[in-house]
Amino acid sequence: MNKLQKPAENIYQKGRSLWSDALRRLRRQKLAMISFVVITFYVGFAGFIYLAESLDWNMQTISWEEETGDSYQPPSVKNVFGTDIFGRSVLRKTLYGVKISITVALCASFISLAIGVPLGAIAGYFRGVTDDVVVWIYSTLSSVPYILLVLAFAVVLQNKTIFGIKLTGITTVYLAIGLTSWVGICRLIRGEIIKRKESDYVLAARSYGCPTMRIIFKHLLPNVFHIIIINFSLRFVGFIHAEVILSFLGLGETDRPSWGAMINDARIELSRGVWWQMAAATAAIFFISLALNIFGDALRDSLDPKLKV
Amino acid sequence: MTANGDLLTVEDLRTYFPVRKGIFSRVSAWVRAVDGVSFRIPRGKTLGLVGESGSGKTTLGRTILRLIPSTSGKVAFDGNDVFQQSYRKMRRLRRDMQIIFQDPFGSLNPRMTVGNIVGESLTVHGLARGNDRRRRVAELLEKVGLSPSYVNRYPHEFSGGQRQRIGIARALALNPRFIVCDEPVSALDVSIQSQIINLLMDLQKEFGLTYLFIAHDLAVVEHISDYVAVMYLGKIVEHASAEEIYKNPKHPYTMALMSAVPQPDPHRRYERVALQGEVPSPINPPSGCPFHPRCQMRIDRCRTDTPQLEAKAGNPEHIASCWVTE
Repeated sequence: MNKLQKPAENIYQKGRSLWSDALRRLRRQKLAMISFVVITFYVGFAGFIYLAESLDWNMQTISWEEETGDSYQPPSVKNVFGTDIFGRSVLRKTLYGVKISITVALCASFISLAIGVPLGAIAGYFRGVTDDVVVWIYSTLSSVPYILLVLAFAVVLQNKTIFGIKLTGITTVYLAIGLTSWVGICRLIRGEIIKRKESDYVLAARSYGCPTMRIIFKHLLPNVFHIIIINFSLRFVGFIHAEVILSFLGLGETDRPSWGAMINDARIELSRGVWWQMAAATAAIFFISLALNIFGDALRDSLDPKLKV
Repeated sequence: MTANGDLLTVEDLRTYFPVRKGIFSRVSAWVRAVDGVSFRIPRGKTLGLVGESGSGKTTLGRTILRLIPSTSGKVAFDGNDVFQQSYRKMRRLRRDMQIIFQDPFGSLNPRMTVGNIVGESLTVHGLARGNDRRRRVAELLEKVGLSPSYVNRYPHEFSGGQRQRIGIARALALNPRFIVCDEPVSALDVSIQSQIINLLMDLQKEFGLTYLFIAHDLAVVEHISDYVAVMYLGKIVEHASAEEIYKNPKHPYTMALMSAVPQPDPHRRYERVALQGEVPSPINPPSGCPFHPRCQMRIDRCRTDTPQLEAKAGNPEHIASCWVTE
């Protein structure tokens, strides 16, 4: 009874958007939240390194360049993951590798989304010649084996100067990855837009003279945005792996430690029984990959309206 | 302004969709969704458009609003040729012509609040913003019988009938003069149907609206329409005032539809004319009268000659295309 008589405190009731619904569902999944903490830790750590470097903090005591022992010391209390050929701490190198990996994955994701999403949306909405051109471009791109394509881009872009920016190290890597991996998201967005552009709410917007770009960006894209987010979270792992592969092949960062370069070093070291460099880099990749995969799955479960229970 | 007070005039309108085949997407056939339709609606009146699924009613409504490109023909809205307007003039014209949809679930953007759904057209046309817009949206929601406190809610939080009211509020936002109601009650419960119909009629009286009311159910149309047009395979087969067509149907198809309407009087005996088969394909319509394969009154002539719309029962306002009836 009391409940019924209680007056509404705010007459403008706040609605429950599909986003807040999804967020509530996501919060209920324990494993996903743990994964989220792991991801936040990686990203936060990368941010911390950037901050420390740009503000010139004195990081002597934890610098990866410092020699903390003799060459190839096995794991001990002092050096948890042992030391490399120059006696540097493998743990510090691994931690520094986070910066490279996260930077590459974030930038590559951003580039591929910035190309794939608008192209897919425009192709799907306008169809006709525009669509044919876009489909032709991505079909051509995707007919070349992915790794070869990334390699070719990286080799071509290496040490070139574009818009006054000299492309070195990881810049080349994320440009190469970003420019080659927008096909998937583009195809996905195009399909979704084609499906939704005939829906009644789009027709209603057209009937009151809503400009085309506004229809695409205010009516259609918010309805496919969850697909972008899911795709982003699942792709992120792929980009980290791509960076590792490129570095392994000697096309990535050469002056500073990255996981790929560490695994490359380990190739020769392993035969001498020095396993810790390999183990540390692999563990770092393993945890971020696992966390991203679990979180991506949870995101899909909670964001996709079709899977709603 | 047209002299005779018609708000909407449709002349010989055709909408064909290409059927493409093969790897070169060659057009192999045409779907004649709307095939030579003419009618006019006087100001403030309602034309009910009836027909089975696939008869082209929805396509006709959307072609009139230029949401689907027409193949040929002319639509004049208050003297303006709808298909010949420039982009800017068309946008201005769209403020006067709106549409209400059948499916209350698909017609509202699930990621927009009610306030944005109803008020977006005001923003797009630069008519109101900020507090003005909020006030106008609240006013519209009240007009359609919803609480103005719903503005921040999302469509999935409402029932079918409430959603349909939101759709109506959206259509009213720009103060239109003409609304295409595309089966606005077909997806609703019967008890809600009459509420929505009455709401539409009240709004018509209040704002002097003109309706093209599309439905597949004659009973619903009877209540709201001044005139009724019956459509079959993209063509109008009978057109008359609502009263006349219900009392005295002249096309066998209309008669068949009519007999499907439930009668409230249990003592009255009436003959049911059950329609056989389905609507033929509009890609390859039957020869002669398009209705002849399903017609119970057909004569030999129906198979070869196509009947034209002509005055029936000595009433020039009552037209039907049939060789048999007088």
